Amino acid sequence: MAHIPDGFLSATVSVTTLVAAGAVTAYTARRSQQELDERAAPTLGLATAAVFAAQAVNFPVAAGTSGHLLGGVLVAVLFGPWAGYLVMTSVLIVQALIFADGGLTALGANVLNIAGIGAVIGYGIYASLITLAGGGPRRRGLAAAVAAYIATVLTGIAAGIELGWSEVAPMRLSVGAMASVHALMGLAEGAITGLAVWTLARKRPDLLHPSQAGAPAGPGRRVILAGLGSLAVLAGIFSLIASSMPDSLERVAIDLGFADAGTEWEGALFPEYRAWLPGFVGKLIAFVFSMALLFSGAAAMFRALGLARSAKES
Amino acid sequence: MGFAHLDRYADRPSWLTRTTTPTQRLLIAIAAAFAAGLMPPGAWRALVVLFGLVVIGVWAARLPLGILIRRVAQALPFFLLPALALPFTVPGPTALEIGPLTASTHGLERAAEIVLRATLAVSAVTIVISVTRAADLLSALDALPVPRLVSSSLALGYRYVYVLTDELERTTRALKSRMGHASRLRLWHARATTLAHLFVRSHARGTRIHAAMLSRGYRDSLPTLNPAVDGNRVWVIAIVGLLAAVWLAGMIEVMA
Amino acid sequence: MSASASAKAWEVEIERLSFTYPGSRSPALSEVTLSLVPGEHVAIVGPNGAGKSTLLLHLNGILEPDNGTVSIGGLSAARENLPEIRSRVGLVFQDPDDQLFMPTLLEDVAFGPLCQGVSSDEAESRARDAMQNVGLGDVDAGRAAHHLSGGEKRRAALATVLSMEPGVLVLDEPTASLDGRGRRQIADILRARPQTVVVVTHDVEFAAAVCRRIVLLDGGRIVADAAADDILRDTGLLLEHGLELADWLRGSVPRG
Repeated sequence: MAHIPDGFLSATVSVTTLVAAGAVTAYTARRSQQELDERAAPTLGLATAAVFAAQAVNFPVAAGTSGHLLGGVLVAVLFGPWAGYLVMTSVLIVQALIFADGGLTALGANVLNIAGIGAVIGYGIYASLITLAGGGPRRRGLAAAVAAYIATVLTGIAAGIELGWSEVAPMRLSVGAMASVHALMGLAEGAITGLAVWTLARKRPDLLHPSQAGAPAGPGRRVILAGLGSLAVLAGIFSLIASSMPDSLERVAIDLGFADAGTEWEGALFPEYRAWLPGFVGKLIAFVFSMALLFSGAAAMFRALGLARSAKES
Repeated sequence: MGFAHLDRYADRPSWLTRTTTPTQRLLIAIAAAFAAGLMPPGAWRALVVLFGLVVIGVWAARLPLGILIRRVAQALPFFLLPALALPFTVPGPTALEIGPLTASTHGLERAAEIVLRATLAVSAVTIVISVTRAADLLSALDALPVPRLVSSSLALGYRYVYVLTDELERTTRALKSRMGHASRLRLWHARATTLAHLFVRSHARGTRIHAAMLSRGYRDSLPTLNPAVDGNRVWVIAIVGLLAAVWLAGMIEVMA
Repeated sequence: MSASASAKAWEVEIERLSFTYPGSRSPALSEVTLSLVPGEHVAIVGPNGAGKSTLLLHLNGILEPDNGTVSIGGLSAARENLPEIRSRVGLVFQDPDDQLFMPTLLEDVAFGPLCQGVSSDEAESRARDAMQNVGLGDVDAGRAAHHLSGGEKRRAALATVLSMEPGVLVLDEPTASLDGRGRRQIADILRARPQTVVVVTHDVEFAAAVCRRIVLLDGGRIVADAAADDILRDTGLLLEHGLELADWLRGSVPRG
């Protein structure tokens, strides 16, 4: 579901995402090689095989449907963001060539969405949460679960944006649809990732990537959490207000040329859906998005402050 | 398609395998996938020409039609389902009504186009993948501007995916026989734990493989053997050029 | 059987080797001294945890001794000599899947020569010779090792080091999980090797079948070093160090 097939993306979007993904891949290859030296090939090769094997495992949901792990955050927690990106990219290449899961023309987009957002940004969210809340096994598991969930939703949003830019469907429809689907998929991804990381943190903490620092010490933590808490509440209120005005959003969309000027669509789905989509899903998207941004941004900021303070003291 | 079936038809001699090296074949597949996938909406005639080229490709590779159909059928759900949503969301004159839903002609057209484009792209890749050995495909990837670390990850990943999958299957089977009527939550926890163990074992195996590599003189990159076959450059350039031309024709067709 | 005629055989000198794993309280190896003349076949037997595998890993520099020295053919196994040492010593690990890591069997067996700097064609020819030598000349070398049986994989792993034309062959548990026929095939191959051979094994009868000299290792120390027949006859010694002969399982264990 997360993979975009052939035939949907426009030439511009396809080429742009390919070039961007190529650049990031070159960078991560260099970083991983630096970090791992000659261990890089066997370590990452086996990790790639492990992701394939892991993706085949069934997690039954209900009546024949089952969830599967994508694995972006899991490999990032184990090998760091850059090696994690590289492993997921390798997996995506094979999926596009051998399994037709994801098109070759969409490879750039899929790499950016699943490897870039899944591994790199997912790792950022995880590391920020660990920095704030501390590094015990249960917290790591929870942080990984939350990071995997948010990253999955963001992946869906990104795919929706790429589809919207390709003019396959109106932007808010593609984003809304993809985000909703991924909001559901993310539950499985989050749960599986969280449980797996919890086990790893308990049994083999030495295998987790070392760049995850522990929590900053001291009374400042309470202040930080209180501050973040209030920011999150504000963000939530803001998104509620924004999404209760669907008409204004629609007007903006028309002005930007995403929707047809003739709003009386003869082929419209239901008349009500235009209000329904920006309403609930828009709320959800805005909320998740702002939470993710806020957590990562604030944590990074405070971590930087903390590091600067400890550097001054030493 | 699955990893297990990768090499089944890889050794039948055909015009394609005689005239092209695996790398050249991969380039053709990529060119064809892009020509099909990036065809602009409305370029029907160009798509038809492309369809003809794919048919010729199937013949030139002596690919059994059943394989192609099966592969496309496997890939179908990925693009057919999203494409089917389009007729109901693209504005235009009504084509038909299904209960409360109305489909527009423009939407149906767009959906059909997407399905055709995706099918052609998947077919082109299938032709090349099916008649090329997995190991040759991996070294073909090496020749493309893919970072060294990615191609060695793919090579090792291919070699060990069977081993790890076997180990994992054994573990989950043992688990299933112990869990009986366990709740779904317990099952998820147990399976997630086996995934954790999978990564632990893969890490250990990676360390052992590294020791084996060092013992045979490994320094920093996996060495390769020279390929056995020579390909006909002229034909390859001609085919890729033809595909590019068809795509351009499609672009022009739409702008007119 | 061409390659065996030109194979060298190096002497192996281990002098007061001591080693403790980082973080471990007791030493894995203490003052191990062992000397092999060129072409000698020696088996190292002992109970689990005796330090046998640890000793092997010192022979090609994967582990470095805390004290003492290792030299192969007069060349010390110091860090600057490791590339040459690894050409002289062919180490075959316990799990053949750890040594067969390339996408095709041919690339696996050619890996060593290629790392040694040999040309691609020469590496391929050495690889084919080595596979012939272990009885795998008819196997399709263009596929991954996954398709081979357990015994074939073990012989393939041996071929991967034979292609490097080492003067010393070192094998860690070569008969683990092999059936009777597989065991015999390995025994026949090893007996015929002109190189210096060191075999680590639990399988005391196999040791006596392949090697004229047996070294008994326990607790990181050499407790006996004598002709194979003498060691086999000394039931008290075997019992004391956790070793048993196969037919003792049926009847009562004889008292020393």
